[in-house]
Order: sequence, then C-alpha cells, then structure tokens
Amino acid sequence: MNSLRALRVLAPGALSTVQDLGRRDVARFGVSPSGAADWYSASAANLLAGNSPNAALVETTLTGAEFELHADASIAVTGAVAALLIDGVPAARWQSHALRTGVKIEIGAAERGAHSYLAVDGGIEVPLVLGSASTDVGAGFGGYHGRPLRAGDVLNLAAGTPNANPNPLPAASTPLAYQPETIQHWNPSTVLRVLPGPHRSALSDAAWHELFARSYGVSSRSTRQGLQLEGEPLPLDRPTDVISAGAYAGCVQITSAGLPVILLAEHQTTGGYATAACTIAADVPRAGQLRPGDRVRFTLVSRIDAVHALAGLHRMLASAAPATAAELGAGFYEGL
Amino acid sequence: MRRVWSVCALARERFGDAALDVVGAYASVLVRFDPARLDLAIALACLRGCAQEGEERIVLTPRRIRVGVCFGGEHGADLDDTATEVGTNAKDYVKALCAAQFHVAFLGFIAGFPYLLGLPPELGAPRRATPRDRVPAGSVAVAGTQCGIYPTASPGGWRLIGTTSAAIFDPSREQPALFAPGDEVRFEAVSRIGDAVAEVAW
Repeated sequence: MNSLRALRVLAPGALSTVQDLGRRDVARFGVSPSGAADWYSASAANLLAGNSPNAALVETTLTGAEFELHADASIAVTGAVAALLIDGVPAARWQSHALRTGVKIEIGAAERGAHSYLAVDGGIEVPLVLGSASTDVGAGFGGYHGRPLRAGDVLNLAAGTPNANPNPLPAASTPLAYQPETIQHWNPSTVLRVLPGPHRSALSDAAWHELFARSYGVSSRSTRQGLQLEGEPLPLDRPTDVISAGAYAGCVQITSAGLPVILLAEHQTTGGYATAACTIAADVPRAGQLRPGDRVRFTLVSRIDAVHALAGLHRMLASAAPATAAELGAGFYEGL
Repeated sequence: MRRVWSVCALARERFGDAALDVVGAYASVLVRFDPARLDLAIALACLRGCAQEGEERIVLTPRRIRVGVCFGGEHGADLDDTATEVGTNAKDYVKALCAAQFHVAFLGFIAGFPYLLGLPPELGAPRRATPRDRVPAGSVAVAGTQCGIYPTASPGGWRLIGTTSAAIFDPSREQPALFAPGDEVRFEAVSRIGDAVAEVAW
C-alpha cells in the first residue's frame, strides 16, 4: 500500500531546496559543504520524523510554501516561526504528526527566522552527489536535479522506519515533541557568540573593540552563501585582504570596506578577506536563521564555552527523540 | 606550497573520519571537526604534529596536465588589452604563458576552480575594475600573480585570456575535479575550440 511514497511541491515559495547536513571532505575539489542553513532545526525535524539527523528534507525560505503528502507518514516542521496548517487546520511545529496520504501541508510566511524545515519519515530520496543529498544552488548540483524546487515537482520518499509509520493512524500514536525551552524563537535582534579568528591581527585593537561594541543590520543581499552586514564601517588601519585561506560556516570576515560578512552553509571553500572572528558552532543555526533587517551583535566567548554550548544543543536535540538519539550514540551530529 | 600539500595529506590520514574536511590554501591548512566526537586538545596536538612533520614528508607525485586553450578574440576578450598593458602583444603574451609551468595550489572560489601558481611576473595585471556578471565556463583568466580556469559560468573579475573546452568539473564523476592540488599544468595554444581539451599524464 506504500508503493507510492512521495511529496509533491504545490508552491515552493521564495527558495525551497532539498538539504541534509552537508558534504564532507570535498574542499579539495573546491566544493562547498552546503547543507541546511540551520543544522539544529534540520536535525530536530528529522529526529521528530524518526530519521537520522542527516536525512534529506526540505528547507524553505522566508515566504510560505505548500506541499502535498502522497504517503502515510510521520512529518515534522521546525525552524522559522511560521504558521503550520495541515489540511487547513493549524498544527504544532517542533512536533511529529502521523498523517494519511493526500493531506496538504502549508508552511506560512516566516514571522521570525528565515528557514523552515519539513522532514518526512524515511527522508527525501534523491541521488547522493559527493556523498550528500544537499542542493548546491550556486554550483547547480545535488538535491532535486541540482536546482531549487518548483511547483509540480514530485519528491520520492525513501521507505520509512517501521516505528515511524504507526498503524493504526493516527489516534493511537504518541507524537514526539520538543519542550518549549528547547524550541528556538529567532529573536530579530541576536547576539552571536564568537571566538577570535585566524586573522584577528588584521584588525587593530581599536577596530577589534568596535566589532563588539557595534550592532549591524542584515542586508537584503544576503544568501545561503553568507550574510552581508550593514552599519558603520570599522576603522581599518591596514588592509583586510589576506592570502586566501580556508573558510567555514560561521566565519566573520571583514571586507575592505570595514564591514563584517558571516559565511553560511553554501560558503566558498576559501576566501581572501580576513577572518577576524568565527561564530561558535552552537550559534551557526542562529546566523543561518537571520533575515534581512534583523540586528546582530557579537560577543567573545572561550573555546570551552563554545564546546559546552554545542554539547547543550546536542542534549536539547536528543531530548525529544531519546530512542533515536541513543541509537546514534554520543556526537551523532556529523555535519558541522 | 609543498608543505601545505604535505600537511593536508598527513591531516587527512591521521584525522581520518574524525575530520569533516581538510582545507588547504596558499599558506594555511584548516581542519573541520566535530568537538563532540574529537576532543579539542587532541585535535590541536594532532594538527601541530602534522604541521611539524609536514615539513619533512613530501608525499606527492604530481600529475602533469596539458590544457588546450583557444586564446584571444571571442575566446579571450581581455587578451589584447592585457598584453598591451604589460607592454607586449597578444602573440608574445600567449607564447610566454604557454612556456610557463604552473602548479595547482588548491581548488576554491567555485567548485573545481584551480588556483594556478607560476604566472610569469611580467604577464601579471590587476583584476578588472568592474567584475563581469558572467564569465563563461572554461575561461582561462589571470589576476595579479594568479591564474585560474572557470569550471562553470560565474561572476568574476579576472581578465579573460582564453577558453578551454576541457571538462573542469563534473560532480557525477568519481574524481569530480580535473585538477588536484600539486598537479603540474601547462597551456597549449590551439586554433579550434573543439581541440581545446585536457590530457592528464602521470
């Protein structure tokens, strides 16, 4: 009876793509890791749907998006603060829903944050390219035919795990859900915790101090590659061009105009601007959820704080799906 | 440069699956790892060890890649201006470029893009004041002391000297990128774009 398992795209909104937690060991090809802009929400949606955190799911951007489910399946929607309607009825985000085939899933326009994640048990089935289901929008490969989703696209779903597809549906099933304190709300005014970057010395002490004293606006030119920040330029007394060096999601680079850029999931593998600071891994999801007009400040933390913050997020992720998390073991998250 | 390649090779070997990625550039090596799986202090000690031993261990046997290129005209819109700017003509510029031996320093910027070291200093010219919105795939381009080849169409500010029709990047191949760090590269002038292909020798 599950011969056809699919998710049909009715309306993709501004930018919907298939993502997982990104590619590994591909920098030597000049290939970006890509993957979900917000790994926390993506992992959470997958765990709720009974998947590994790295399963392929749909990432939407800013505007609303609509899908039709062609399978009896568990689904979950996480990420941006946005309405979720299942067959027109408001439903909880950050919670699993056992659904019958034929229902319509509507994700409303994001009120806060930028990206929603829709996971379906089994995960979306697309050919892995360089080991990942992620769409690299810039390079045009991976995900669904290497491109953003369009209305009418039909995404195949892999066979679900037996437990994630409860029978009978749906009354007898107990949904998995995150407790309120583990749900992210994406404040439009965010403080990102950072460590000093490899090119800290490209800034004078005065400019370094100013980086933390100022607040910046997120420019509308921001993409999945990175956030351009607007504000008063830092006082530079030396060039911020450096010999091209490796880059990563969360890098805070200072352009020659004296403004920070925060690299996100689909960043270039190397860059020629000074990486003055790097966002801690635990705060990369918050950077990924920033939207044009949001405000950002930076605060300096220690390496130990950074590791503890990451461990805290991992515990929060595991809290809604202890069985799956236990099965995957400590440090199950592999896509930083 | 050899030290970077060597440290990268060592880091890839020693970190194994614990490394999410190893990113070599001109003068740096970046190792991405998950601190939930690998202790920070152990990772730092391992990387320091790689950096020290990388100076002594040269593990590379470079491949030689000959890249056929159609130079100038519609295939290299900036050749004439660039040659004039450095005080020569297009013919001599191409001759000098094809006499040079390049090394792939690393790949970056866009998937498969090789940063080539070895541009003769007298052929170097600054990048264009206004970047192009679209540089065609296969463009052989120079900027400053750097030389590179655009695998796919992309915005770019480098000066376009020629075009190759070699498949620089194809994610469906087992080795998606034509070039790898350490490869020796030479250009050969060809008159037909269909002949502008690449040959790899070990």
